Formats: sequence, C-alpha cells, structure tokens
Amino acid sequence: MSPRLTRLARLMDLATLAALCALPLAVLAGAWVAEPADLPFPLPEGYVPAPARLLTALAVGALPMVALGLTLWRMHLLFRLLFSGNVLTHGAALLIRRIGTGLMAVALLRIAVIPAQSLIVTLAAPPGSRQLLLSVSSADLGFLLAAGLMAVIGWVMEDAARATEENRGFV
Amino acid sequence: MRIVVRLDVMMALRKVKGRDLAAEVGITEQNLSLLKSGKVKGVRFETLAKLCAALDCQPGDLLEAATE
Repeated sequence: MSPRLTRLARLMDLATLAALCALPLAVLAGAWVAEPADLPFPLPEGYVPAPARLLTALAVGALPMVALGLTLWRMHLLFRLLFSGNVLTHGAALLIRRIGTGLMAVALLRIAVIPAQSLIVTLAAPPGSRQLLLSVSSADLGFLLAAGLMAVIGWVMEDAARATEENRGFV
Repeated sequence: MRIVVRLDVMMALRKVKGRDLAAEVGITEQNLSLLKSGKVKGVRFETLAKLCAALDCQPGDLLEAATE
C-alpha cells in the first residue's frame, strides 16, 4: 500500500472523528437557538405554531443528521481499515457500499424533511393556509448522484475484493 | 476426483531443498509449502512451468488426478 494512501486515510480518519464529535454539538446548538422564523419556509401570516409542533419539526429536521452520523462512523471504520493496510478486502468494500447507501439516505432525507416539516408545523393552521412544500435543489440532486455513485463503487469493490481473495489462493 | 500434488516426491527424487526450489521458481517458501500440502486453490501455468524447469520434469509428474 502506498504511503500516500496511509497518510491520507489517517488524516481523513481524524477529520471524520472531529466531524463525529461536532455533529451532535451542532444539532444541540441548532435546537438551542432555533426559533419559528428559522424554519426553511414561511409560516402563514398570523399563525403561531404550538411549541410541540415546532419541537417535532425540529426532531424531523435532525433525521438527516442521524443518518449522517451513522455514515460518518462507517467512514471512520473504513479509514481505520485503510491505514492498517486492509485495502482490497471484503470488509472495506462492504463499508464503501454502506457509506454510499448511507449518503443516499442522507440525500433523500434532506429532500423529504422540508415537506414533512411544513406539514407538521402548519397542520393546525386554518384551512386554506396549510402548506406542503416540495423543494429539490441541484445541490440535493448532485449529492444524491454522488452518493449513488459511491454505492456502485462499493459494489464494484466487493467484486474486486472477491477476485483478489481468489487470486491469493493461487501460487 | 481431486488433484493431488506430488511435488514433495519429485523434490525428494531430485534431492532439491525447499528453500533452493522456492528461490529458483521465485515464490516464497511458505507458498511452496502450501503447494506441497495441496492447500492452494490453483497453480499458475507460469509457476508450473518454472517448477518443471527447475525439477526437469513434466506437469504430470507434479500433479495427479485421484478418485476420492
């Protein structure tokens, strides 16, 4: 294994661990300072949602963060495998595929969160001012495509790891 | 039907040591030992050719098909 890969894997592992530590803090800090005006969509005029609805919307908004946390943990495991020299192994390939599917889940949850939040917050609003917002940005789509690509690479790596394992049995 | 490796027999006949043969063929002693015990999935033609050249024999002298 090249020393460059070892160095990069170690560096990425540290970055992933830092992100893993920062993620819950960021979610808690966001929850601490959150106000109705911070919602990513405008509220109907004169409508003040109940605190319980806001809290539920906030919890729903944290769902992509949970998926991201799980994916970051898998990244940490992958980078540890890589800098210990286990590059073309079934374990590393499986982690790459799971990271890809995890990132796809993050991307889909990010797209699904705003409609869910808008519905939760405005469901008690007077008829005619309830909202169901759908929003997909090019960044969301790009993220989803990149995540899908990573999942596919993971599948390819599993095949490559299988071939490498078989090749090791030949003298 | 299974393939039995007769490398140890040929090595004894030619009075070749494992270390010397491994060095001549270009494989590790560990792999040669695995090959002798038949604990490998397969042998590359390249390795087989080098073994035959080093032991002055034919592939059939090293491998034998045996009924289970």
